[in-house]
Amino acid sequence: MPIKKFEFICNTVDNGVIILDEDLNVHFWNSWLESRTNIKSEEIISKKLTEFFFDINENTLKRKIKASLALNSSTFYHTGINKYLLNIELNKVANKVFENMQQAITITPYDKNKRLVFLYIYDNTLLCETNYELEKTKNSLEDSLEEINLLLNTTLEAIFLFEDDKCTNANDIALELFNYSKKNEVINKEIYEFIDTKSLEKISKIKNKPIEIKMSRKDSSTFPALIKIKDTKLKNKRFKILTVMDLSELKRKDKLLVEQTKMAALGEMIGNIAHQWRQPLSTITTAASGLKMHKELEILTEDIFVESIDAITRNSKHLSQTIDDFRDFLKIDKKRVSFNIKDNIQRNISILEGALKNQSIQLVLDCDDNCIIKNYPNELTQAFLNIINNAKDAFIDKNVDLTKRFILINIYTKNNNLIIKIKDNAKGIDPTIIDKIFEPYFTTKHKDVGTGLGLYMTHQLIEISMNGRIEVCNESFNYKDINMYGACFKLTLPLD
Amino acid sequence: MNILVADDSKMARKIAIKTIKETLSENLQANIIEVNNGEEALATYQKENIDVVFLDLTMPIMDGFEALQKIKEYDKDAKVIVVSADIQKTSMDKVREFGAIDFVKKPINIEKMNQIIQKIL
Amino acid sequence: MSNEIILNEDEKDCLQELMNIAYGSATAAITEILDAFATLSIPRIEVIKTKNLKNHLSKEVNLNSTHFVCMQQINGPIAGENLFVIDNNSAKNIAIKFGLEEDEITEIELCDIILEITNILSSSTISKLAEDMKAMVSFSPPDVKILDNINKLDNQFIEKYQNVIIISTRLKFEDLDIDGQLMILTTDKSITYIKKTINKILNEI
Repeated sequence: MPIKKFEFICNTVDNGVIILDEDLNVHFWNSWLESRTNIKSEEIISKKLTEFFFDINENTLKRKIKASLALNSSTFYHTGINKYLLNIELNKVANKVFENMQQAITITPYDKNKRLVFLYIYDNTLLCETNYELEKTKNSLEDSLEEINLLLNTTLEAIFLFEDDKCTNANDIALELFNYSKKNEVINKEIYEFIDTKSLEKISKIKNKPIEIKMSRKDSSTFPALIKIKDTKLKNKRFKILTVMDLSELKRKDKLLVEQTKMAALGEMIGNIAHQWRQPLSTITTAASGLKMHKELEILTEDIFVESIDAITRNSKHLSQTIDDFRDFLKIDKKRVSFNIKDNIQRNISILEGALKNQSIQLVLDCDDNCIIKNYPNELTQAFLNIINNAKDAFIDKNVDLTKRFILINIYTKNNNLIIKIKDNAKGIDPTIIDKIFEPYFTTKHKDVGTGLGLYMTHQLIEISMNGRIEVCNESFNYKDINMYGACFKLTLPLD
Repeated sequence: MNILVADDSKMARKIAIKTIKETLSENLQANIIEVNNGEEALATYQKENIDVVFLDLTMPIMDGFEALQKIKEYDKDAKVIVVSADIQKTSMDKVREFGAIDFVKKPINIEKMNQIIQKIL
Repeated sequence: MSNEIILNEDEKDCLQELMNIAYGSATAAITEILDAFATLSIPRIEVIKTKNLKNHLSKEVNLNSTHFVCMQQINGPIAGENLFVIDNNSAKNIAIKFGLEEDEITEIELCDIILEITNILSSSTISKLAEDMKAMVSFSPPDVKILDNINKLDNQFIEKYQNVIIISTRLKFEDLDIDGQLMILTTDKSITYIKKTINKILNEI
């Protein structure tokens, strides 16, 4: 090739071009190198390369040159391994990753006889920088991934991911909770496979709000749970995220507390029964022993005999009636029945009679005789008893004057609803807590005495079981010219 | 004359035989025997009256180095020419040390074959 | 692993012999540089389906210890890839033979040396092979990986081709405890070219 063309190519190509012999003397040094190393061609020609670049490993370079000449083919210095051959400082200021130019070198045999090779130097800095960024990004991604995994697997909730309705991922808690040993056991399952078959229709009601529902484990055993399903779309795929919180433990505790409350209520009732029975039993005993005494003293008359037997019979009937009342009370209502509200309330009052008298509480009932309602009578009784009992406790706590303890019950119909208003003058409920009294586990009583479930259950009974409403407020009212102030419970029940 | 060609590659043997035949003039008739490993080479040498052996180095069962040694042990005047791809200097030296007449780089060509035949005769 | 359809006995034999010759020069080149003596082994020719390649490789290479795998692409009518596999210990011994001190031997140094060896082996072997087949080939700079698991060999090359001819030989320096394996993997198109050329050679014999 004519020298002119050769020179032109070598000095305009975007690479370093050197001609070296096997003793590392430079025979050619192109412009690219001149400008980057600030070493002029005239300075370096005929000199040893290593005189200008001290950090070059002579043995390695000589070996590579010898190999290329021997094999008559190219040898290389690889960027990844040898960062550079010629130490050229980079002039970058902004975004500098490397101090020196990263180079790739190719050594090609040129003249076997004269032992000359061509050395091509490529500036690989950009490639190396890109690789460096990639490595950094990869590492930070790996870190993020680890963090996310950690987060997902330390939550309390089981999390399932569904892609186009098939399960694609689940966290460790999900696998544990549902008794699966490996993730691939849940992959490709559909949502309904995790839900108890009897509860499936509830799913259609779920709309971004959490619902309570029974879930089904791998072995088909079920457990109560609080679940939430989020629907979302990402890049044309439909995603569903199911979060499940196990309520088994909570339910167990709940059940226990409910049992305890029932026990407490039962206890109260038995106390009431005992109270109710004391009087009649005493009358019966007195009549019986009176009869015996009269007989022994031979002063038994026909009248005394009849009177005594009547008393015994009357009171026995009363005892029997009490048992019936309580037995009915303990039965759980299965169906809604039509019943007379006044009868129901009066019966309830009679159950409490003793306890109320004990505390000097006067109860006034204002109710229509012929009001019929179709609902669950025993539930109403339970709710009613609970409210009255709370009032009773309030009178005791607040130390209300014994002569001034009143509970007024006002029952009337309005707009196809039955309204029951129960007012007391036990000085009212503290306004800061009045909003919370229907909450479960909320009590102002000592924790050994109050379960906090009484009014909650009352609330559930009225609003959910009986389909009514219960409200409370503090009210002042007049009765027999006395100013009264206390809580007012308003129950609203549909008539049918 | 009896010529033994030992090489595990059929093609190599074919090339060797063809080259031999082309080199020898019509005057010289030769009977060429082929074997494909060192053990057979030794056995054939011992059995037949072989004049020249063309021996490859990389063979299975018994390689060329061993075969050369054993043939020379059997007959110290045996004429063996090693034809091999193994052109390491050490190999060439070893082979001469063991008593080979010549070492030829594969593939063998007519000129070289001529030289060898001249040497032998 | 049927190869009767791809290469017949004669073709295999011819390829084997060509490889033998080519590899002979390559080894000579290395031994000159290393100043040592290598035991040449008979090259093995196998034709397998690319989907079985990983399996085959994992059997060939005992990956219980760490290995260096160096790959170099071959371009030309004979196209494909050169694979040189060598275990850590052998690589160290080559390094020592290259004149490195024990404490100078780092992973990076070893990689560099393996790259060089592979380059040398490729250039000589394949160049010679190509020369005999009257083809001009060029090589891309080799790349080296450290493997302890065959699945790390993420070879996209594999998906593109149906069959692979594997020509394998060993590089063994007994007294130096160096043992490596060179595998030349060729592609579908090359297989056709190789067959054609081999048959031409066979016909001239």
